[in-house]
Amino acid sequence: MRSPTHALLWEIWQRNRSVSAVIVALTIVGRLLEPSSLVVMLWMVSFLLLFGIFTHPISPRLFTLPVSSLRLVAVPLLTGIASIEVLNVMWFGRLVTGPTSTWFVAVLLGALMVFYQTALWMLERTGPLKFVFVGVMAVIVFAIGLVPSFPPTPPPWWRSEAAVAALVAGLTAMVFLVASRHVGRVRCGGGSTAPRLEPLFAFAAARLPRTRKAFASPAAAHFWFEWRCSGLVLPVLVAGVLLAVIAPQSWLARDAGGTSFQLLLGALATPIVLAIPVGMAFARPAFWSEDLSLPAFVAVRPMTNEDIVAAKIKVAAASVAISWLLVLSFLAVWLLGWANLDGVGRFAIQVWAFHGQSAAAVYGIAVLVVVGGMFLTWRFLVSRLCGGLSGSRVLFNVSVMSVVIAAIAWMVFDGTRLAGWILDDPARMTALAWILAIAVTAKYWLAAYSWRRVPARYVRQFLLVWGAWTACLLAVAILFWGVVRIYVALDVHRFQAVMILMALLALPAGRVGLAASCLERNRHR
Amino acid sequence: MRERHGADEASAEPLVSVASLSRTFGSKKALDDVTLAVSRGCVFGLVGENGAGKSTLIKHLLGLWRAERGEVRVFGLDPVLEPTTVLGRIGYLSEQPDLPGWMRVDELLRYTRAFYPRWDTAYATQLLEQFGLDLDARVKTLSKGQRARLGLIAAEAHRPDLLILDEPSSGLDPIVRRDILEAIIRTITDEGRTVIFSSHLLDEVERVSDHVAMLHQGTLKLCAPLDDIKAQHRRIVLRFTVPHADPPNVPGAIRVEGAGREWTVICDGSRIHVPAMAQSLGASIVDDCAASLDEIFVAHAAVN
Repeated sequence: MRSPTHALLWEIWQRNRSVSAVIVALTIVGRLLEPSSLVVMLWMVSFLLLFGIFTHPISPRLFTLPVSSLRLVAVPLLTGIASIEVLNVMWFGRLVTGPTSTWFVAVLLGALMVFYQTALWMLERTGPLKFVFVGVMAVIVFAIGLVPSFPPTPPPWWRSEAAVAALVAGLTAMVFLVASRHVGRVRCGGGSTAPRLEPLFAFAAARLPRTRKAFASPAAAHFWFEWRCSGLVLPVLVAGVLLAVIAPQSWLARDAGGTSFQLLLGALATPIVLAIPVGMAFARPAFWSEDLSLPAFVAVRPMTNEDIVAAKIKVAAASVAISWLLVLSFLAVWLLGWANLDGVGRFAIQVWAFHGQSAAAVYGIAVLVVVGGMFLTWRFLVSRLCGGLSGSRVLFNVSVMSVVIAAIAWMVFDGTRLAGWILDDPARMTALAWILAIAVTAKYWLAAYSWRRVPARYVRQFLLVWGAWTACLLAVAILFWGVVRIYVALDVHRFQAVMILMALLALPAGRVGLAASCLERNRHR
Repeated sequence: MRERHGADEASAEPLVSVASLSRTFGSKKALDDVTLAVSRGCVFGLVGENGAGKSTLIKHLLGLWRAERGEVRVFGLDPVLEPTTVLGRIGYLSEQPDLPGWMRVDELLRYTRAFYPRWDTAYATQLLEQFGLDLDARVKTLSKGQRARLGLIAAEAHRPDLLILDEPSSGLDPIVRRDILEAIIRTITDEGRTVIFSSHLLDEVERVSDHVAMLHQGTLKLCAPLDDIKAQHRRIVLRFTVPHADPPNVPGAIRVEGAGREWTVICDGSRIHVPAMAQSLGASIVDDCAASLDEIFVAHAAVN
């Protein structure tokens, strides 16, 4: 190596050669195809992969090199900026960017890369939750990009592209210096000033009542252990969103009936949506660790793999119960306190009228929706256990990436139109019903196979829960088709079949059963 | 009378038996056809350089790794197939105890206690007082030595039939090392309990072990009672009348080192008649004594 900079660049390149090749391949395919939703998706995936390259923290190993902190920070940041600008140029002309100038987009992308890497370095100790912060930051940068296009046109000078670009560039330079100072401090043993969520959760858990009584059983002890490691994360996040996002908005929109209804839906969706990223970390053997191997501290305990999985599943259930209790408590205070109930009331009256003017039906549906939401939250917490507990990085990444790609595809191809496209044609409905039927058959075969070695007591417990939840989802499905058929002319029988099959598919059975076998591979390598 | 468990106590089988165990990591052989047996009530020292395969072997005994080839039996059971039964009778302490930093000392002990019906609370309390650990202290605030002591209490307080210590004193000060050695001695004074103790601090192994296995690059070089090993190996210092540029060819020697006129030979004393050997080489015997475990280990490691 001719210089330390070359050595640092070489390390980045060596670590990411295969990802770089995939990005180039996606870009070439994107340039060859006609502009379409698929091209947009390829564009998004290639940029996401590029950000993935610059996800790595600055290793403490590098701190011992005779290189200044500024250079340690500058090499990945400047390489990131150069890479994203090159990729932007390679995709130039393939996407409609509207009235936004190309140079303005370039400035925003460069800034985003600097913000992204700096945030990851400074929030390293927050574990997977750092990506939630990064996502929020990306949304803010995107929103800044829209500022010059707000009416009136042309915008005043302080909202022009040049002014906003100058502001962003100045902010980027400041963030660059902050990153350098942070690395310098960490290097000198000064530690991080970033918020550390793990101690925060530990602090919250430590404030809960303590008992010095012995645990009744190994299962109770391990439940407590799992709960203290990860149980409070979802409730704390749900409480945070309710207090920091929903509550202020509900106060500001206390006179708007329509907004209240949207906020009600938002509050109900909060635990479900948050369970998706939390579930990715929850699936790992140790919530706060990137390492997928089962910690030796747990692995040498005299308990079966099924006991370990059961403790996780029970902690997930307790976590969901507390999260929903928080949601319901908030809704009770808000709806009875300062909410404008016009929008909510109109919907309730429609439901009431629909179901023979029965108030019991309205309350029954509300209960079903809440219970169904709880089940879905739990589902997202435990459905990835198989991949996480296996200890296989490939399996886990595939499991996580499938969610990310599905979300991107949903956005790019406008998933909301999918339902209409299927419902419009009976042939498509038939095909979908057959696909779902095959999926249900496969699911139950897998469940029967995966649960064959699980102790009978766990099978009984899970079957009880699974039966209750599936019955609840079936009831929701029946109510849903009863409503939809009023508005949409469709083949009711096929639609019924589709809804029932989807309800049967909603809750994981085979994957949960397989989790113990996957853990066995991890525990006995 | 001691409680009886499993099939092992009804028979004369060794407590731990490993037969033709092999393990590879990529192209590296971590264990190569290792066969050994540990009998009840002994302190079994496992020695070898870093990367020799000691921890790999121990992880197989704990069932954390599955035997790629060969067989592992602990208490007559396969630790992979019967983890609950086997681990319930083992106390384990590793070089890095891997204790959760957020736990308090009393929480860790309460958690550990739940898994072991034979947990001896009075004994745990006695050790806590002896080690001066604060029940309310968080594990992350403890020093390395205090963590090792806490790990030792957790491993020992259920009076396990088999105590496995994987390089427990590595990087620790002499006082903590003394505590660990005392724990080993305490364990073996309980009738029938067994200790497997891995270390590359050979003086410690020599002090407490009564049976030693020596691993080198995944191969078992020696496995015998310590007394036999020490009786078998001699350290002989030879003085030659004329200086030798190269090591003299000493029949039966495991290692020859030195320079000029004086050479030190580590050899199998049972196979060599030392005066005759010295006479045949034209050398005089300056010193002839039992080799230390350190010298024996270095001699065997240097053969390869």
